[in-house]
Amino acid sequence: MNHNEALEQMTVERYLLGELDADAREDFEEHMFCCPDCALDSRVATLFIEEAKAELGEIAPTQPEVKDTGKRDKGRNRWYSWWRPAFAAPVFAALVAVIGYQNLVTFPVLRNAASQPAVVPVAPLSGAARGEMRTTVVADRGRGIAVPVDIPLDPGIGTFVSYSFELYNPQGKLAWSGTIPAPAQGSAGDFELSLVMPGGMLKDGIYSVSISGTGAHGESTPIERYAFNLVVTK
Amino acid sequence: MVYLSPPPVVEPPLQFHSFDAVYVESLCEGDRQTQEHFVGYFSALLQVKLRARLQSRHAIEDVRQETFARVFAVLRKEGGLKNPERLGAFVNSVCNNVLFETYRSSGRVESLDLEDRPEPQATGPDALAIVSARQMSDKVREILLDMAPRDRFLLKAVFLEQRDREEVCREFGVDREYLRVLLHRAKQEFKTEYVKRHGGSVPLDAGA
Repeated sequence: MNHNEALEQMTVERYLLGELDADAREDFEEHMFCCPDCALDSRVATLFIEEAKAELGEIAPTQPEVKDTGKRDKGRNRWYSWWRPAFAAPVFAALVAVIGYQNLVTFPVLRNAASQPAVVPVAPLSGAARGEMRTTVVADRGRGIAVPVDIPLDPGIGTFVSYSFELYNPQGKLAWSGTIPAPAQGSAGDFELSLVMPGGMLKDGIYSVSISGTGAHGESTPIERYAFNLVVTK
Repeated sequence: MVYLSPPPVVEPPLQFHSFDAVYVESLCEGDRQTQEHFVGYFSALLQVKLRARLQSRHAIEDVRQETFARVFAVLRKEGGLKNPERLGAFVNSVCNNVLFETYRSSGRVESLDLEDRPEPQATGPDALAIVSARQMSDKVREILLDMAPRDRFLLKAVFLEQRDREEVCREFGVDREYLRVLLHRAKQEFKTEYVKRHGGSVPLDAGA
């Protein structure tokens, strides 16, 4: 062993940590007795360890040891800290309030909405709404609006197993997407549908609906794009 | 003859000597300064070597004494050490022999030191040495306090509590390399302070 090898392999540290096997240890000791640098390093490290033993016994821990025991324990303690009463009590109180509100107010309303007929205005969209030409539609926030969508069943466009819809909000972000199976082959005319937009999701601005057909092998073909300017009342 | 180990707090600023024919000759002739250096320098290294192998201070001291006795016995023979520059390796190999015999026999190893030579005396700790030792302790404390608490606990578990390294590393979520680097950095910081005070010497106090 030479000095550079000892440095590169951190042999002094390995030696003092008892990580060397018998041969490597003897090798290093022979080197240490001849190399003043390694002798000094070994001696200084030994002094540090001996002094540290005394000091570590006296230094009061600043926090419980378990809180500083590495990544795994750190993660575990972070998890346990969520259960401290100072944090957990108000959180549980808030959760109880939310659950109560949902059970007493939200769910009954939703249940009624789901089981009761509702009258939804249909937007007077025309062919002018197709493409980039925009129609302004006035919608009631309380009742929402239904947007008529006509999909031409033209074999020239392609044969599809389903149609996909993407609704973009005035910020240009995808607000909703959905799929509907295509009607049986041989149907003529347009596939007429209504896209019902509940009042809660409506905002003033330009909405757009993109429709594409999905073929038997999953290939997607753009078919239609509607854009309309929505004005929300109430 | 007893080869006195200097008192623990004394750290005379002895520089490393190159071990050559002149040094060995001075040693054999009983030059006091050379003998003090030799005993001090190699006492420190023997302590480093023996601390991991022998549990009791008495056993360490016995092996140290016996090693020096045998080394001097050989050196004082006609043509005792053929390669003076291998003095360090020679001391190490003599120590290995003594250790081997100590392991093999629980009885007292008979000393080969038969000559009646004046023993190298070590001076007692003076006020300066005591202050210096205290400052080194303060430096170690400062280094420890600068560490992250986790690193301190890691060192405590390994060195003070002497727990199994593998288990400790697993518990603290670190690997052996982390422990090595932690010790290396602490050593380097301590060494800077040490060298500033003592120059690049190996201290005579053997931490005994």
